[in-house]
Amino acid sequence: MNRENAIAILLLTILVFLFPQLTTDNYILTVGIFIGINSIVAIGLTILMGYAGQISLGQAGFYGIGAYVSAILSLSYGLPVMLSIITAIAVASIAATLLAIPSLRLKGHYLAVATLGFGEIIHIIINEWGPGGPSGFGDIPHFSIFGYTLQSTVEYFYLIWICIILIMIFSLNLLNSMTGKALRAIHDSEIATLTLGINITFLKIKVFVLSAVYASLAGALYAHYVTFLSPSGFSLFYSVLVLMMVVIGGISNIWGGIAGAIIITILPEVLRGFKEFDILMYGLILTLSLLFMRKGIVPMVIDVFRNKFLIKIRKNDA
Amino acid sequence: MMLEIKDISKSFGGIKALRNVSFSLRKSEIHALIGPNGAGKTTLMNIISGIEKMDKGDIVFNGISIKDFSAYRRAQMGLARTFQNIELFGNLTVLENILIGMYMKSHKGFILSGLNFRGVDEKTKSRGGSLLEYVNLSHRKGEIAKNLPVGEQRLLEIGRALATDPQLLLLDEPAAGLNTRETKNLSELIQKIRNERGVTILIVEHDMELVMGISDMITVLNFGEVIAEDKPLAIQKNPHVISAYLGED
Repeated sequence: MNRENAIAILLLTILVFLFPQLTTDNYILTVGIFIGINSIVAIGLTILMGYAGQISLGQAGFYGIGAYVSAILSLSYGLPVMLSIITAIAVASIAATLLAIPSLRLKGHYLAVATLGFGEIIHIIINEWGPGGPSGFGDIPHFSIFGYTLQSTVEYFYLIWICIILIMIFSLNLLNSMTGKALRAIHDSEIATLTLGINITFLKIKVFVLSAVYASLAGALYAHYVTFLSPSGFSLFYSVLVLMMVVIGGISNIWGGIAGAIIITILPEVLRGFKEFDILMYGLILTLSLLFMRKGIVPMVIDVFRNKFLIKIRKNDA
Repeated sequence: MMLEIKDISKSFGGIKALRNVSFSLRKSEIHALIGPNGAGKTTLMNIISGIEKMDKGDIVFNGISIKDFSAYRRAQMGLARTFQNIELFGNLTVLENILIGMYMKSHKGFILSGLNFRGVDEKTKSRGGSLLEYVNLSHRKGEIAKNLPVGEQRLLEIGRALATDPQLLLLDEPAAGLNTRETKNLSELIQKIRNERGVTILIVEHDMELVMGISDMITVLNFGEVIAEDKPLAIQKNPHVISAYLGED
């Protein structure tokens, strides 16, 4: 990890621990938790889009597998929550691998089409065969670790944001490693990367599986926090929502995943004041931000910051 | 034999790019592939490195037929190349370009990479640094590759190919766009790579002074067919070669 990212991680950690001290408002903390859950999914998709150059329209599918598998295992089969989460992630990873092998061996955006279908299939499965069908089911066990069960909103806030810090550390390390450099190399010349002995397909499959791991973890955390699941939250709409988070946050920097999740999660809450015009405002804001911030928020802020900073240095030199 | 090209044919639509091309490379020799434009030289380079498929024929590398192997497998076996149209990682630094070349021998796996805070380890970086020195690019280490002049970009491609620790190096017009002094340095570098590292070299090149100066053996391709194969002096006197280049009958 480079120095800027290490500082950013440190700042994030401080912020995460300060935030619940500044507010005891459960509503704000709850929004914070949902931002966190969405961030985990968005970080995975940012890596997939920004570094492997692939689009997934089925992250809701992995999110759904994470939520439903973990919920069912812990509720109906009495598995400890930690174990059911790990199993759910494993199931999602296997599904991702099986999906990626045929679609990533072909050139082009076959993965986008395959994941679109996959997401819909998962949605139909949980709608038809999931406990409670379309109306869903409750009484899912709360998250517990070493015999301690999490109950309060603050505890969940900490749990989810600590997960994000760990995920960010892992992801930043990965992208700063030889593997991350190889992924960036593929963008510049796929042919040269191949002739240096790098199995591009295998690398892309691994990144896709990583995005599925993050999404299913987020789904599982969601299930054990809300303790109630229904199929409506796992439709194509959620996949598109995550895609929007990533595009608005910026695909060239994985901090963009968090920034996008903050904006897309908060926006409907802020727009509530506009009553029936909220959907109109929502669309307008998204359209404008795509028109004027093509790279996304985080890369744009970094550009502005660097330019100001560089101009200062140049002035000092002159 | 290091490399045996056996009876390779390739057509694009109705055009026959290569017709029953056969020749061999001995270990540690510098072998040139020359011929007029459109003779099929680059096509052959792409077929050997696995970027293009051939219609018919076989490629034997160190006694193993590699015709069904993908490009990255061939690279892992010790086959490296540079490109006529430079294919650097333009947005990465000069050192990073070299590091990608070392990927297959020094990367740590996905999960371990995520748990390692130090990024690329110092040993790998210093090996990359000494390779840069080898191709005379130490002074450019931290620069973005696309900002380098063409001559240095070609050197960087050679350095990156060497980073894979190859047994066979394919150079596709390494002197294109180079001035006289740069070409002279290039010819010294190519000989150094062969003499010090024992790397076998197959070079496609239009600069005849360079080709005649460094090659042990020359194969001449015209309209997709081998029309001559000999030592440099004999090639210069070969009537078929002269007519192919001057367009006489």
